[in-house]
Amino acid sequence: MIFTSVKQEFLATLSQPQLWALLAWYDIKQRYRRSVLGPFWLTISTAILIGTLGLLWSALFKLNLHDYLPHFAAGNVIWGYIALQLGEAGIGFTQFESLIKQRRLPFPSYLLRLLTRSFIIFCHNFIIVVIVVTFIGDGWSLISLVAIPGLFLLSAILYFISLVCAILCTRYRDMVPVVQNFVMVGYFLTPIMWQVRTLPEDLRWVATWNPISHILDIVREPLLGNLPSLTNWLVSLGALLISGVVAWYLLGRARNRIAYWI
Amino acid sequence: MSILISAKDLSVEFPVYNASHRSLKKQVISSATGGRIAGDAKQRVSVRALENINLELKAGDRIGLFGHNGAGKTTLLRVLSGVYPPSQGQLAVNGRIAALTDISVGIDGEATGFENIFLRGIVMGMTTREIESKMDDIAEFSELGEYLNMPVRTYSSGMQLRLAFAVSTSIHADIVLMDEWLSVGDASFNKKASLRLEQMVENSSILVIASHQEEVINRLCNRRIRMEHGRIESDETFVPSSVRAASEQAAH
Repeated sequence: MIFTSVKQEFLATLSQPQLWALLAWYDIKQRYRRSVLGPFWLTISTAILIGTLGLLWSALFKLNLHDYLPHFAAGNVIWGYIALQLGEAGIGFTQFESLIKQRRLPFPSYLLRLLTRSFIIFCHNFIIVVIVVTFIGDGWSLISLVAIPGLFLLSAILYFISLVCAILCTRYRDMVPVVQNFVMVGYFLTPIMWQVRTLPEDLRWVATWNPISHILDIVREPLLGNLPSLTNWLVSLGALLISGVVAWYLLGRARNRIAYWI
Repeated sequence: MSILISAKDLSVEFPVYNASHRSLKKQVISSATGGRIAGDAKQRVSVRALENINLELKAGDRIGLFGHNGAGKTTLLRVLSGVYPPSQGQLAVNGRIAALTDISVGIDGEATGFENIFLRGIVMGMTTREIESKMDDIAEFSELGEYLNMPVRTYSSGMQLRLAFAVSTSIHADIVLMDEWLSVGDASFNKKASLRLEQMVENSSILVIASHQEEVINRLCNRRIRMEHGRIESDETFVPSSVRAASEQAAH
């Protein structure tokens, strides 16, 4: 196939779900083929991490477990989704080298395959959030449903950012560790392990000026029983717009070069 | 007749990002094998794999590409399949392409034979429905029987190739691209495979095959293109030996 525009690449991706949905499903199946628990091993290790750290922090900083653990668990699981996707995005095209050199599939489909993969793993880990919110947190209400459009928005932003990362990392291999470091630093600078209200007033700008914190909140807040603020929504929509435009522009510049860069 | 593939002044240059610039920028190396290595204005090193290719392929064309290693045959096939967009010039391709350049791409050792039929089929450009409709044909042709429920890593390399071949040749394509004539399996299976491949070529409008075997090109093709240093050196039509033999027989 020869695609004449970026629009065509995206349309071809959406009209051929077998390229990402089915292949992502096979990827997951293949990775955990001979394991009894399969992807639930990730859930278990995430649960152990959240349980241990949650108890440790709340004991160290004298936090209320009922309040802190749901915040930490939800934040961690959502962050896991973001970190997994961005980590994979660095090798988003290079890991499919043989396929890219064999057949011209629409480039956006490779990243959608990765996103589907990350999302499936996220769904497994989400069980932890369900357990923590039900038994330790405030339980569920109708507000929790707001997390669904929030998750959709977060996934769209994540998708475009990972497309940008994949393009840059394919051309400039030094970008791969740069992205990894950003993800690591992002974890500490985003209110996941800590809560905004436990920060001193003069340090709260760290969370206010961190767009990831707002994007995280459109999913996490509804799960904790609160509606996200208007700022949360506006920052997220802005991030969607900017990441979408940058991804569209970069793909337009790079799509005829990616096969040569690999 | 309709033109299905048209290339105008098509060139392909591979940037080489990790080559030492200094040692190469002073000289332009031209040797018996390989494309041209050149440094451009920005002093980036690049390999010019194809240079000013002009080509028009019509329905019914059976092209045999031949030339030294590194003459640009495989690159030309990849350009036609859309993998490498031309660095310069234009290319227009109409029709569905089946690239039989590396038939094992997409095959996964841990997945079962049936799953791999889907995996390979998707890579070939088929929809899930299309694959389902061809499932019986593929399973029967591969002669793998019960093995199709087993992971492919338990297969012998010959069996794996059979499976990949059965899926890859089940697609209906207007344009068939091939890097050397595929031969798979033992003698009896290979005969059957050859027939199937010939059938596939017959059902297509255009065949482009790169081959070092003169006999293959003489038998299958009606047009032969010699490539050297990424350029088309000669382009001639001829009567394939299979057709000649048939007409001679008719005359007797």
